[in-house]
Amino acid sequence: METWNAIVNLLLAAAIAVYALAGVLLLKERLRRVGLTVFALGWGVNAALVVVNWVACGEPPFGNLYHVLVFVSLCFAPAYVILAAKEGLGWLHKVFAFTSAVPLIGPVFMERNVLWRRVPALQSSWFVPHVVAYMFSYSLMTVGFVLIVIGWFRRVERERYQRASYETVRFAFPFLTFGMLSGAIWADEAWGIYWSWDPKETWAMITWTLYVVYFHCRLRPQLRRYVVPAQVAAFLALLTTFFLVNLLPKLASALHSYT
Amino acid sequence: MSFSVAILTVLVLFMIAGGISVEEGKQAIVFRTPMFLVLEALACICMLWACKRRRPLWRQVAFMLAHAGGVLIMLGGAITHFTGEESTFALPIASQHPIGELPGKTEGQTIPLGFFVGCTRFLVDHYPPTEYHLYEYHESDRQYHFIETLPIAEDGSVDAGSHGRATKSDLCSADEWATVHDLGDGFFLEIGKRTPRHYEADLRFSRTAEALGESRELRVNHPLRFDGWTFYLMSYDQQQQRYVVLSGRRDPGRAVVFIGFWAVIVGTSMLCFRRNARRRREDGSSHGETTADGGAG
Repeated sequence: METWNAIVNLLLAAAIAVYALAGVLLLKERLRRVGLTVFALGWGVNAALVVVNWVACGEPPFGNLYHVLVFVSLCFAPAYVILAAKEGLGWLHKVFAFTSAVPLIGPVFMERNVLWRRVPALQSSWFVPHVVAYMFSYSLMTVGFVLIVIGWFRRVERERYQRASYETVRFAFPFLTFGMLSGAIWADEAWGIYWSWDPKETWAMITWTLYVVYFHCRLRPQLRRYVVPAQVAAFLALLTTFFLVNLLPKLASALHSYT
Repeated sequence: MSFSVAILTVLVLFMIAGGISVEEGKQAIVFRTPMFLVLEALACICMLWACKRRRPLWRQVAFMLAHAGGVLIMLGGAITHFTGEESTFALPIASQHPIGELPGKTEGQTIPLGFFVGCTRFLVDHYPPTEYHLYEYHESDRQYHFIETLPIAEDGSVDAGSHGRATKSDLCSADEWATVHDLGDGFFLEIGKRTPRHYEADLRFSRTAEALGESRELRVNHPLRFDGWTFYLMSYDQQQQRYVVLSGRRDPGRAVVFIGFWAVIVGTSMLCFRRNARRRREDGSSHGETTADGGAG
């Protein structure tokens, strides 16, 4: 146990440092190539951390908050590569590099349950696709939110950042949808009920519905002024689904107690 | 569309209220109130109206799938709500008396199955334990008193300090961990909470209470279907393994809901993954003019 923790501590610190260094380098456009190389190196360290977690518990490492935060970090770089190629959002490299480091900060301070046991309810073929789709969408939704915040401070480029945020959220939304509905299909297999309004499910539905509101507000000119509030509300709901449902006793989720 | 946004916003407010204001485990009550059902029906009407206004239909496949899928989910949910049956019940293990009806939602109410079901076998496999509890026996009151919880070290031993030490060979033989271990001088180790790795039950279905029917294996995440009913292995008696807890459901709306799920997944993927018009325009009109920033702006 001590050995695993020592390795995890080392990789965790290294991944944060390398991601942050990549972000700093990418602030200078002339250092873009070096910055992207360092970003890739940070992703490699992050991937090594996921592998260590996997080897330590002998199962896909999605057993607790520590595991999934490490995995969320891993999702930013592939998401960046896809969005850069597909939507021309290569200029967001610094945003993706910095935000990659953020989810790893929590695990430095939290109790890390490296050894994890997969209970029978989690032994389903839906387990990995459900979690991976959710974590991938969460990473992109985080970037979408960060872009809105940056746009808020950079008035001249606000429109550009809002559009980039929209394209990021648009790409993330099918993953969020698949994550939620694959969870429902899995719940039907495990418990015989696809939706039970458990707090985690309720907040997942609130998050999804608020992103639907966001998309609809973008389509009508008279609703455009609600676009940013809808996105902010959706992201706050996402944070509630991801963190608060597990942390606040009032919102304690009985069916998702092991998440 | 403004009306749709208004309906969705009210639904969100309702869900927030239901999600945080009701006592633990009772959230579902809020979502079965007439007000919430009316809101869902209005959302359905909005989706159908949006589908009706889209022309030509064949060019709007993604839009149709995403919106009609939502309608199907709610329709299937309504079918389940009004015609489905569900019961969670304890089934004795290796009992000679299979059951032919399930307990209903209200006390005294029963749901006839139309066949009989019994549990012939149950098996549970645990992960190795991680801790033992240290107890001391007091002659004065003839009771065992809990002292502390001790972790099992990496070499499989348990160190109880001045009260003694148990090695892995003391505690485990042939992968079976001792439930209780005597350290001497009135001190005992009792095995801590055990996490199940796997459990399964054999169910036997028959048309009459006396006949021996087919036996089938039931596992978590692998429900069994028989004669329109689906049985799920929920839990078991962790103390003495006298019964398993099952859920039995007859859900005519399930297939409709699942078609809706996949329609929404495919529809939203088609809507969101296709390249947007702006990018297509950029690629078409100014090919090769993209800036280092990717041309956005």
